[in-house]
Order: sequence, then C-alpha cells, then structure tokens
Amino acid sequence: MNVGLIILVIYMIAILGLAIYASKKDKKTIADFATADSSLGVFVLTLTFSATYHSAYAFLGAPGFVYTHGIGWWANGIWTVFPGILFWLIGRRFWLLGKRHGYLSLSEYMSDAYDSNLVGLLVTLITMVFTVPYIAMQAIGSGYIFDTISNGALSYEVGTIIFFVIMIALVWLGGMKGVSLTDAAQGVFMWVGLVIGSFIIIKGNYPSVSAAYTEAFKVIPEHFTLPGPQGLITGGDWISRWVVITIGMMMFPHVTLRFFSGKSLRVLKWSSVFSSIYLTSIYVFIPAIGMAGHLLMPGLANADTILPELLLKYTPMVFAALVISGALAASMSTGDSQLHAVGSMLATDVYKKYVNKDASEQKQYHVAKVCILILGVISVIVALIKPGLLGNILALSNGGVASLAPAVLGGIYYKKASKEAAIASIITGEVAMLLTTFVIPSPLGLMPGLWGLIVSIIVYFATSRFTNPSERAVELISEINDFFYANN
Amino acid sequence: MMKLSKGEKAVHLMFIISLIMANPPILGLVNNYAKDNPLTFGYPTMWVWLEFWYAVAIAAFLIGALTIRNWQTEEQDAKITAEMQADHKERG
Repeated sequence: MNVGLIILVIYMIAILGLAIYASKKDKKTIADFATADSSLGVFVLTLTFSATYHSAYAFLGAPGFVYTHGIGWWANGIWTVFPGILFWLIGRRFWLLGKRHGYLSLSEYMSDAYDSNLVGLLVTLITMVFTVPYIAMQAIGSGYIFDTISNGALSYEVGTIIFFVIMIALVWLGGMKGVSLTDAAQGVFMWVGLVIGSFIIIKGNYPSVSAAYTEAFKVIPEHFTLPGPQGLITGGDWISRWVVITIGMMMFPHVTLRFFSGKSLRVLKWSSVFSSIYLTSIYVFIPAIGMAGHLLMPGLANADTILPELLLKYTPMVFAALVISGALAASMSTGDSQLHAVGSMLATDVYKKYVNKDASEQKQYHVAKVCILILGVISVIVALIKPGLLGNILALSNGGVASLAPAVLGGIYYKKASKEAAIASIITGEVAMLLTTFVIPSPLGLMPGLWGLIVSIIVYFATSRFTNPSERAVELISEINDFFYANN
Repeated sequence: MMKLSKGEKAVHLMFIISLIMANPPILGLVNNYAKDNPLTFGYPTMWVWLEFWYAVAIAAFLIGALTIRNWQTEEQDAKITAEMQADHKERG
C-alpha cells in the first residue's frame, strides 16, 4: 500500500471539497467568475497572489536550480520582494480604474486606454501564447511529483493527466472564488512544506543549517559564488533573469486579474506587503537544500526532484507525502489561476468583442469554461513533450510577456501614450525576443526576454514622440493622479 | 498631477538602493570578497548580503505602508464606496 499516494488522494479530495464549497456561491456571471466581484480579503488575496505566481518552481525548480547552478539562484529574491511592491504601486491604479470603469481584464483596460481593440487583442493573444508553457511547467512539475511519490507506480504521463483533470475541476467548480480559496489553503501548505520540510531534512542530517553549508562547501565550493559550477550566472544572466521575471510576471493575466479582485485598497496594500514577506520567507532554507542535496544525493539525474526525493528519504512518510502534496498544491494553484485568467480573458476580450457582441454575462461565463478546457489540453500536450529545466521555462515564459510592459505601464503613467506606440512596441519587442531566442545568439549574455523588453521600451518612447497621445489614456491618468495625489 | 510626497520619494529611494546593492557591479565586488570568504556567520556570504538588502526593501515597504499619507487607504476606500453607492442608486 503506497501511503504517499493515499495521502495525496486525501489532499486532492480536500482541495476539491473547498472548490465545491466555493461553487455554492457561484453567481454564474463573468464578473463573479473572473474577479470574484472584487470581494477578496487580505488573507485570501495575499495567498492567492503569492501562491499563484510561485508554483512548481518553488518546490522543484528552485532547489533544483541551486543544486545545478549554486547560490546565483538567489536573484530569485528580487522577484519575491518586488512583485509585491509593484502589486501595490501599479495595482492600486488598476484597481481604481477597475472599480470606476468595470474592467475585468488587462486587455479590456488596454483597449479602452488606447482606444484600440487591436491593442487589447495583441495583449490577449500574447499572454495566452506564453501562458501555455507556464501551465505546462506546472503539469511537468506535477508529473514528477506523482512519479516520485508513487515510486514510479504512477508514471510521469499519468501524473500529468491527473493534474490536468483536477485543475479543470478546480476552475470549473468555483471560478475566481474557488481558485483563490484553494490558493489560500495551498499557500499555507507551501509555507509549511518549504520551510518546515526543508528544516527537518537539514536538522535530520546536520547539527545546524550552517553546519550543512560548511560541509557542502568542502565538496562543492563553486556553488557558493558566481558564476556557479556551470558558468551560467554571469552578470548579464543575473540582471536578465530578475528583470524579465519580475516585469513579465506582472503582465500575466493570472496576476493582473488580481489587481481587480481585492475588496478595497486597504486589502490590496496589505496583501502586497504580506506577500513580499511571505514569499521571501518560504525560500529561507532552499539554498541549504540545494547544496546539501549534493552531499546527500549526489549525481541526481533530474535536479528538479531533489526536494521531494530528500523528503521521502529523510522525513516520515506521512509528513513527506503531506509536503509533497503541498508541492502539487503549488503547481495547481498556479496552473488553475492561469487557466482561469486566460479563459476569462478569451471570453471577455475575444468572444464578446469579436464573435458575439450581445453575449450575456452567463454566455461569457460558459465560453470561459470551454476556453479553459481547450487551453488545458494544449498545455498538457506541451508538458508530455517535456521541455527543459523548470527554471528555464519560467524565464522563457516571462520573457514572452515582458514586452507588453511599456504599453501597459505607459497607459497608466505616461501622458504621451499613443495607440501607435503601444502597437509598435509590443510587436517589435516580441520580434526581438523571438529572434534572440531562435535565430541569433542573444547578445552580451542577456536573456532574449530582456532584449525584447529593451527594444519595446525604446520603440514605445520613440514612437510616442511622433504620434498623437491617446486622449482616453490622458483622461485615465489624470483621473488616477487626481484620486491619489490631490492632497500632495 | 502625480507629485510624490517626501515619504514616497524616500521609500522609492530605498527600493532603488536595494536593487543597486543586489546587482552587478556591486554584487561583483561582493562575489570577489566571497571567493576568499565564502561563509559569513556560517551562511553563504552572497546569500547573507542579498538577504540583508531584500530585508531592507521589505522594511521600507512596510514603513511606507504604515506612514506615507498618500498610501493610507481609509479616505480613498470611503470615497470609492460612496461613488459605487451613488452609481448603484442612479441605476436603480
């Protein structure tokens, strides 16, 4: 009898139970499905924001990256602290506009601000395309988890498909309320799993965390400095990685949808602060796990499985299974949030705008669900092909959406923002990113996503100098500034 | 017009300083030091340095959330609530 699998099943049932509970409050409207009618409180918004964008990567990719590349992984710290800060600084602007103008997605806002459906469509399509590998990353992580915890009884492929089925069920049952409630539960699990689980492993093998580092240094000294044992973490890689992931992360629909979901500005503010603290704390022992992992499990074939393997070997089975369930929770909380966000966006920004302009709230709600199913299938197919190390998929995925940043942020800050600048910056940024990914070696050791962002910034500001500003954007920016800065 | 208060400017400055300290070229100097002194207080020197500056950024954020006038949300939330209620009444 596989105790680990049994615990995993019990955990899945509990999470589905939460989603069923949320479904009882489902109003079956797109506003409720997409943003929970802006009703989320501090605890839930903190954890849904945090758990949504820290995913299978937190349990698998992060320790795996340290195991392979050393301390250079902790560029990650920048994208644990600063997204929370950005969630407040820019999120409050979107929150206000969402309240006053009823936006349910970033694309809706972009179409309005730039008075251009093309801008909104570009945002929708690009975020959809680059969300697929991100969802696939969660499926990959889950496949590894099922394989590990069942000692191979459940293959990677079967695990991936089980993940898909449960994810679809979670989103279908409760929309944003279900997703955010399960995120909150899974966020608690993530913290317990990563912090306490890691601590138990280390203390079970060494007298202290510092003793683990001291021992690790004797064997793998190159892990303690840059560029790491494989020479990956150069200055250019360091900067690229955090810029692309921090900025790119804020452009993903599963994050931007949460700008519109808080009950109040007070909720948004404190969720932002607490998420920075929560996320920085969950990684406190990860470097020790990655490095001590070399001593405890040298020559691991798949570095991304180091934490679950150590848990199974060095902690009681029940505990290990619970923590690994937490890892699965991390994957699902991100995967279902992404599916939910993109599905909602396709319903409001593509279906309603281009296919059926008279679509009711209920119709959009049902269309969102169909889109979720289709995207889920595509993501699982990508996962079954099994591309690369999880840390690299994260960078690629974020790199794809980072080019949206100038247009998105310009619309809420820059009074010379123009439709032409938005369109030109998005297209040229994506082209630059794709060229440096697939055609030419990325210059100066910078990641392709950063080149995309640099090009899009230059094109945005250059184009805006020669084109007329969007009157609507100027109006919205004045509205924001009058609201927040009238008393300064 | 967007006019940052002194408090906001100070907090933004701390964010920028934290980012400068956590990136090349300053990080390169710390890395060179870490090659000869890989552990500090028993922890990787690079990790200690970075963790310190991340903590500075979080502390600045927390202090800002508590003290910056423009970041206090009671009035702003009340205003929006009143607007929503008025809008709701108008629509009947």
